[in-house]
Amino acid sequence: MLVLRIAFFGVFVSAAVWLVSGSHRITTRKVQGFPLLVMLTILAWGGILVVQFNWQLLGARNIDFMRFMRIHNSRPSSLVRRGSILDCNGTVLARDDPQPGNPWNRRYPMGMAAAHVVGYFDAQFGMTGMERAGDEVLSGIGGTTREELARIGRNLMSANQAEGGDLLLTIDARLQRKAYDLMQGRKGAVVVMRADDGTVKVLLSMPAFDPCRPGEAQYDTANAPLLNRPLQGLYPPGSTFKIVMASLAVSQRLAPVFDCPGGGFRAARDARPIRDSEYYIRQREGRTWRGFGRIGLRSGFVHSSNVYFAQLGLACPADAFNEIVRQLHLNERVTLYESATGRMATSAATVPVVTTADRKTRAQLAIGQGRMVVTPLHVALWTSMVAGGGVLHPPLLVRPETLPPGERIITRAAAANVRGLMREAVQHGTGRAADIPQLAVCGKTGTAQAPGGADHAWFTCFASGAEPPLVVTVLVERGGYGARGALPIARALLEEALRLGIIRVPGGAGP
Amino acid sequence: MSRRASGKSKRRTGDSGTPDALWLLTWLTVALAHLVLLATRLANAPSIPWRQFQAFGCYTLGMLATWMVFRFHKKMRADSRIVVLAYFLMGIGLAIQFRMGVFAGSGGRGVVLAVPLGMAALIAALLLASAGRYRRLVAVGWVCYGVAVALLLVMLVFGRRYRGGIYLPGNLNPSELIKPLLVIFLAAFLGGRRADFSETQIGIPMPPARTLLRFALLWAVPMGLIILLRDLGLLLLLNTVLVIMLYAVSRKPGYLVVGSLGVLLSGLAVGAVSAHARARFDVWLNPFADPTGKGWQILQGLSAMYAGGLWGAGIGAGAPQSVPIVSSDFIYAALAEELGIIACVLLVLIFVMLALRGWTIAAQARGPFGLLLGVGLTAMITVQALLNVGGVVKAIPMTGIPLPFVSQGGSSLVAALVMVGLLAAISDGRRG
Repeated sequence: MLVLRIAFFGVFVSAAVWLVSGSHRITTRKVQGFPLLVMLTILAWGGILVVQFNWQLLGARNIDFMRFMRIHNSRPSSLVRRGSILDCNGTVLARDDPQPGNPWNRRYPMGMAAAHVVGYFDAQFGMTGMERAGDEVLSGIGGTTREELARIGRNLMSANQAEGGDLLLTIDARLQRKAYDLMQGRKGAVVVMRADDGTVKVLLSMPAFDPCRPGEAQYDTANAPLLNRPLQGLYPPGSTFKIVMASLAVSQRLAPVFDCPGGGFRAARDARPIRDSEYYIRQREGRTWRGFGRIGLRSGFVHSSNVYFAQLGLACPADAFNEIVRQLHLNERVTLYESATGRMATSAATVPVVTTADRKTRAQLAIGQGRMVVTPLHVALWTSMVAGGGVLHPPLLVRPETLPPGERIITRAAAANVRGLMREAVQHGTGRAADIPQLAVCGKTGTAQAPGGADHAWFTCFASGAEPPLVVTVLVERGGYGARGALPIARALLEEALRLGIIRVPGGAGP
Repeated sequence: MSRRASGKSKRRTGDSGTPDALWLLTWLTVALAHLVLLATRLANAPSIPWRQFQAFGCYTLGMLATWMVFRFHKKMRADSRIVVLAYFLMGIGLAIQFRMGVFAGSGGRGVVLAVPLGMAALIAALLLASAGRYRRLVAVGWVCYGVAVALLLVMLVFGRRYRGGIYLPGNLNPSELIKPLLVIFLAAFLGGRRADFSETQIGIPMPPARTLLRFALLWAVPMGLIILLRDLGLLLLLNTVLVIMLYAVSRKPGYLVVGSLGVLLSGLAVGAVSAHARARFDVWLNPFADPTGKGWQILQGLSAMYAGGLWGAGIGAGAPQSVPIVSSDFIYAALAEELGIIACVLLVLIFVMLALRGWTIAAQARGPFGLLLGVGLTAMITVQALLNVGGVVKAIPMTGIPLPFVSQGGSSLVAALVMVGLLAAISDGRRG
């Protein structure tokens, strides 16, 4: 067969060359020809060949073209053997599994449990998640350096199948799986990240979808399973925002004592009173709430008093509030991974810029309500700021060779102070059910009112007694009280992390 | 017109004729291509599809007959090289159509029929029009015009639209016949008014108003009908050929400049009026805007080329069937995938040589009619090839013009072979 092919090619080339060479000689006598037409013919064909060269031999330089072929070109010869996606322990999250008739088939061993962060690569529906953001690495395309172009050229000359690179995520598949199991039957999000370097261990969105059949999830508008809730879901943060307010107050050296009456607090004459949740609980039980009385920051935080924090919000200078909102990236998209082919980033949370005169807004924002929505990752970020001693590390899904530096938001002492408040909230306050004594869990519940149904349940926490500092943020949509809806899941995840050895109690007893 | 004596030279072939070995090598290339394809197919299905070799059989016989005409016709001094160039392209085209399974389906019958028909027509044109007899065509210039307009009217009334083109029952495409007919008309009309069309004012070609007006009115009839048929590719092709013929008759490069400007302006005007044309233009500018819809065909064609790379996947070993309608408009993409860019360069060189030979034959013809006929026929073949290949490699927007000799399409093949036969016949009547 090969001999036949070579024979054909040889005969073809020699016939064509013979035909072409000599064909320009026809004139025996000087006749005025059409030099202009000859020139135009040669120019036109030359131009066409240049364009053809540009596609046929140098097409790899066009990233749109490469992307098209990755998805829609079924030729085995030009199909790149796509790299795998692995977790931080080398567990496969996605790999090539060519099938007859479907050479671009991908297999996702984690299935629905990591569907959003891994994403899908589908002939019909394209790419999402890290399959899309990391496509540059996975398909080994793009690049403009001389070496990369040379590699593409060699692939062409040898007709070797090009190979993409593997993508190593910071995700821990075991913990991700555990989170998925715990969140069964719920809607919401789980973010687990290390506060000391920003690496993300769990990024879960529920309900999930089957990455092998993304089409089925396409039209489920009621549950929106394709929405990546930890990054794209926007929710009022509720009381979890009190972590930010406490950090602000502490670093402003503010620890005022306020009177917190049962009737609530009006920030302005025309404003509805802001009340503690106890007011509503007692009201339902047919009793009256007398209020916390005169309390300081410690009691206000531990009991999550809205009346206290509304007044604290007014005590904090407006520009200091705007500044910490900016430092915590609350009005921008936070990028977890980026390449030439896309990025994994959060939606932009929105926290309005406040003015000193706007007392109503300042009081509302201080309790995490009002015109403020954030993503679960944003909540995890400000928790990690406290857990990391006041330093905010940018979240990472792929560990780079050199870690980006963290930004200091508040002093180490201030962070320790807020950590103490969060510890007490777990020991004596709203988060008591999360107390795992050996881990010294610090946390904050949140019960966020959202229009159109029950409250969203939040719990964000970290284990201050363990290394490395691991932040766990759980959101359950319409989950009711944070302490009931979200806290047990966060607690179970911390226990699992300890059992798996992801966190350790230094010098102390193991699990 | 008197029959011209063959002159002093008694050489059997033209003055740069084709060695017999080159005829054989051309046939051998096509035969080997079929052999490779057969071997590839036998590896999958152990039965020889004899019926699908009908086209190749006809090709072999036709080639033998043509060779015999050149070899044994005592007075034939026509240029055989241009015929062999065309046969080479045609043979590669038949092989790739065989490979794409054109002859396995019912749609291949027209092509199988067109191979002997076209080759017979070539020989007939050669024999009938050689020795200067082609000049008799000048008398039928008006008849050609009338037939062309009548065909356009028939298409307008009875035509069925299929994949953007218009066909008559039996999948005949009369627009292919219109191409040589209008060239003959133009050669007759312009050839008789050489002095008029050579007049210029301040460098701009400016024929007398009477002549210009008369020609414009005549030309507007078929062009208007073509616009009604919405065949913008044909419109572009015919007007480009017209511009080249105007240049050839007057030798005033101003026609090329004015013509290019005219094509550009009318292109803009058409784009403003026709959504269809604008869509094609948008796809050309950015096929990635709608990759799975409007950009699908061109991007699949480019993917086929990329897959072919330098050496190609090997004939029969690629996957050009993933390009929609590959065997007609996008046949060049299949060639690029299976034979690689080296073969593409050689095929382009053959098209270039065909054109060069055509221009020279025209320049050597006696009288303005022969010159214009030669230029017109050569331009018709060359511009079609340029428009087709240019569209496939995305150098220009797609025009829906087939690749002469290579694309699937019976009418197109017959028309192209007749044109080559006429060109060879003109070369026989040249001064020497």
